[in-house]
Amino acid sequence: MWFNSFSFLWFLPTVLIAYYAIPSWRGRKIALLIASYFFYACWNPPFVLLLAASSLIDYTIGRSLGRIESPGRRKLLVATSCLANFGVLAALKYAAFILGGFYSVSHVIGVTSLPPIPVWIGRIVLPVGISFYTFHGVSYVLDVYRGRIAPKKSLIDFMLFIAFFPQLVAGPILRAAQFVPQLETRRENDPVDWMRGGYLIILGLFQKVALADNIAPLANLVYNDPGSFNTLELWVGTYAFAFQIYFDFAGYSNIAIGTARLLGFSIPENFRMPYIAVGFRDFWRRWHISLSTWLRDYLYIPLGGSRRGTLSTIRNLYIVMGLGGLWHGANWTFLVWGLLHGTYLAAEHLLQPVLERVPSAIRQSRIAGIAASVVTFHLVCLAWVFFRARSVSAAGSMLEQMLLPNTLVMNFHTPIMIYLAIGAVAVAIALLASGRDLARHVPAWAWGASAAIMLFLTMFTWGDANEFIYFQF
Amino acid sequence: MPTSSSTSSSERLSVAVAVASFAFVLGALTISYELLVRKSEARYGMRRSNVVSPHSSSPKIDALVNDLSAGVHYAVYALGTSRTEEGIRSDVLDPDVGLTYNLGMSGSSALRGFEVLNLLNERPSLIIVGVTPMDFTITGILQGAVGIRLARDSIASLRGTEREEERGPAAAMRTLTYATLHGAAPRRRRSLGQWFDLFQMHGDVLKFINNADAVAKQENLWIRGFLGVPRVATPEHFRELLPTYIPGEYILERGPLYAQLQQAVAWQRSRGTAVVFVRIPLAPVPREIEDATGFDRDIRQVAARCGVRYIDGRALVGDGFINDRRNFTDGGHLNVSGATAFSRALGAALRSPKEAPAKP
Repeated sequence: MWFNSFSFLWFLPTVLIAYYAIPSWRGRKIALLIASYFFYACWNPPFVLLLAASSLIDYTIGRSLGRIESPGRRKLLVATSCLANFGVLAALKYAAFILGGFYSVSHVIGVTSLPPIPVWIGRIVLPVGISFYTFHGVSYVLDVYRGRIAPKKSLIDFMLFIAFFPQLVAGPILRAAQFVPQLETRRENDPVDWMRGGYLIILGLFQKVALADNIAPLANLVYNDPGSFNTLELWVGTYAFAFQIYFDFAGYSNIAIGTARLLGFSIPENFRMPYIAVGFRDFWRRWHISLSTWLRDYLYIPLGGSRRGTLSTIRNLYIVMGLGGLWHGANWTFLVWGLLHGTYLAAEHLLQPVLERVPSAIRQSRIAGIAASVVTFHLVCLAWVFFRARSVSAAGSMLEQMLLPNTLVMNFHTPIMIYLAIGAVAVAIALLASGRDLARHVPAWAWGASAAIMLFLTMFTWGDANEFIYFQF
Repeated sequence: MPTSSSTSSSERLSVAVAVASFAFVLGALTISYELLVRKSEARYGMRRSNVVSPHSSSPKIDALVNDLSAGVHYAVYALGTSRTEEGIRSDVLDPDVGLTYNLGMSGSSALRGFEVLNLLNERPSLIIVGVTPMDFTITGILQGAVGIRLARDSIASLRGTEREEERGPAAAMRTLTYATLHGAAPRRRRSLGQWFDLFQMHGDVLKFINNADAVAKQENLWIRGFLGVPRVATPEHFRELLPTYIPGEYILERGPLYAQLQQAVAWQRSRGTAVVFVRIPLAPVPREIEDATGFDRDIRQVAARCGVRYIDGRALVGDGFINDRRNFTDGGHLNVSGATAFSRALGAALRSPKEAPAKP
């Protein structure tokens, strides 16, 4: 069930009516849990069992962690949870990739007598959202282990935390500490909450349908056949993809946050105008915030973070970003994308002392800020080439063409101005949506009018009707 | 949005104002647009009408791909440059040779037209190749690459839009939405790029709502790939042959491209498709310029080698026609009245018993 589908158009009002019609809080939670499992079953009903099994394992381990005090046994329980969650993820998502890599290495070192990779491995179906709900479960167990939260007694509450439908299939990745306490007390909405939730849903649909889907044809045109485009066209196609993926994912996140708001829940924001970032640490504080903070808290900091010297920091950055890249999918392109971001972060870390020697009047000037944003954005775009290209070699050829200009003639029929206009509108919307200080100065009628215009464009314009990009992860 | 979660009376007022403004603006926009959609449907019908006038090859290829996906296949394709696009009128040829689609693309070599047909896996009974020197230049080949890209993209996007139909309540919701809001139905929705094209090319909104390809200036006539331009050549333009660099490029580059033409023709003939070369009529001065390059001799020889018929448009329509600038938009292109007359003559020639293939 896509958020931008007729299925969701009847599903959400039905859920809202049923939810608010039930007087008891426990009854509402049970209704939400049933709705969430129904929502998930719409893709592939049998995978509901996997979702339920994963939830039950983490719930049981969490409860056990609350009872057991022996450090050794507690560690064993955490290891069991990690093994169960990441084991399933590895088997379903990475089996073919890992086996393929193993066979390639074997071939290189001269071992050629291995049996062929079984055909069924290539046919494994990846359950939608598994990368997201696996992270929910693991973060819960680790937080209970570290004593940050108490183990959840209510099985219904815990299963709802894992399966809460607005964020189930493409995030934002929830933390138990953020969400579970909200299940303790009855959620009520005031008119402002309703308006805020509705606005975010309309904004998200507009970002997906009117912006991302309208930009997608240009990105697809270039990336489907990069060999027949020149330098300028490849750059334009890459800019298009950068904005497509941003609007696609930010649109999904806004719909998820808005839907949760209508149900009385608060989900943390996932994007904060990432393309105005003035560096890569800043970028990762603004892009897919729920994933970057998850990786920071559960991987980077336990590895030692930046506390153990430069070499250790750089190693940690590469490990975290490499795994972050692979989280997106079992493909070398994602790994290279992650490692490239690791390199950017490492370079920024190494350059930090040099930059600090620059007089603060220059460093903090508006021109320096704009220059840093422009450089960051373009380096992010270069990394997107790996993320979107079919293979690492295709990405390499594209980058060669992009960085060694041959011609700057634009042969697109596609009206490029429309994308520039879309970009301008999008920046204005992002400023309004994210800039809270600015938002306070916008009159109420303008919020209503802008929502109406966005909904109108969503209903009556058309792009390449694609599912959300992050569903595949 | 305001961030406070407590609801004061001023916040309640803000919400009321926002909701009222939302309802007013959405209602005004939706009702206005729906009225426009209903007006278009009243004038042109619910189905897509043939009222389009595309500015470039993109809508032309999109329209063809849409037709093919709807099961409409053409018996005859005309390939070539803008001279073919503006010189061979599809509907006039229909009665003589069968349902025709003009795949002539401005600035693009006919060789690229053969590639587009192969990409679409089309097997017509006849291919009319409107031959010009530009077909045998690198410029024509490079400019035609855009057509190939568009064909690939169009085919891919057509496949990509296939979506599982919603069932049950979702299907009821879909039916209700489209019955209430005609403008939201897939056949009426337009992308932002299409709207931009429409305004940039000063198209007619009602025609555009009926048919997404109707984006260009409406004084031109567009019938299944044929672009009918009503303008009459000025005496000055009547003597011009544009672009001026093509004869020079042709002399230098023709050899390997003629070989490619022979291969393309042989492939089509092996699949049972007849091929005919047609030289669209030119004004006298441009014709002299082209003939000075040896084009007339070359094309006759290639036709003979390929074993296909060659029709010289000048011989079909006579000197009276080519000396009358009212048949042309410039020295190299027929206008809509010239194209109509020429297409009638061409249809008759194609209907008549086949002449022997051209002799070198």
